[in-house]
Amino acid sequence: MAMSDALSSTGSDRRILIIDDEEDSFHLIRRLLRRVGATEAVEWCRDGERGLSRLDQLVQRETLPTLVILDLQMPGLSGHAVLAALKNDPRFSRLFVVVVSSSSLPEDIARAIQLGAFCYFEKYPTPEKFARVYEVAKERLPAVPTDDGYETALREIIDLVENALTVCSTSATEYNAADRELLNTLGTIRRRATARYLDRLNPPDRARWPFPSSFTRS
Amino acid sequence: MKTDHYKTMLESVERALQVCRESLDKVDESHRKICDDLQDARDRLRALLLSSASQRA
Repeated sequence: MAMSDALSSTGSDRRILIIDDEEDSFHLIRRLLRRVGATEAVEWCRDGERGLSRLDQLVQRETLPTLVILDLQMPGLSGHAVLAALKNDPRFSRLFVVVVSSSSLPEDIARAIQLGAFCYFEKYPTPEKFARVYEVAKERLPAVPTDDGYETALREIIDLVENALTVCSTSATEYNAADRELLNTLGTIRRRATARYLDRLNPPDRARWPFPSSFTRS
Repeated sequence: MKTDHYKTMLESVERALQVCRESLDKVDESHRKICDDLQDARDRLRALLLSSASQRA
């Protein structure tokens, strides 16, 4: 069960979710959020399982958090595992996740970014650095996915075209000109559909964020 | 052998075209282009399948 702490009474359903096993971290990050002017309610989940379960509840109510702040080293489900679960679920494609971890290992940072974290702070970021990220998260609202089934349709189209291309490649030694034209057409379809799919999953504001230079360390 | 491959490919492409058309109401020019290309691929495949089947016969 998530612990809820309203930073101010905005009358809205906006919130920030902190997933971290250390209570001290939760209090420090909450204080940081106050410093940068966050007005959302702040909820705390003390491990990855609870965090995912809370996010599942929220997405069903179409009230995804403005921001998720995620620790990496937690008992049970690690932060990386949480990121992987979120990445594999299209309902969370627009979720804004920031990792705040005590690890400074390059492989931890790289893996977190690979799994979809928006950025990575070593515990704890300065208010100035954190303020920038919070501003981007706020601008990015609403975080609720807009999937009206279109992403699923695109995924299916890509898979079907992939199937056709795989079958075609098994008769590679027997290509004639007509086969090659067909292959080109299928390749074009796959490229277009994949680009469109990625656009839907990664809205332009995210793409504009200047990675990797924003690997902000405090 | 090739006829069987064309048949399998045609099934995939026809299904992809169907999915694409079902989403046509929600999207824009870029999506219509994907549908047009799928239709083109389907027509090519049909022709290849016919030609391959007639050669085999």
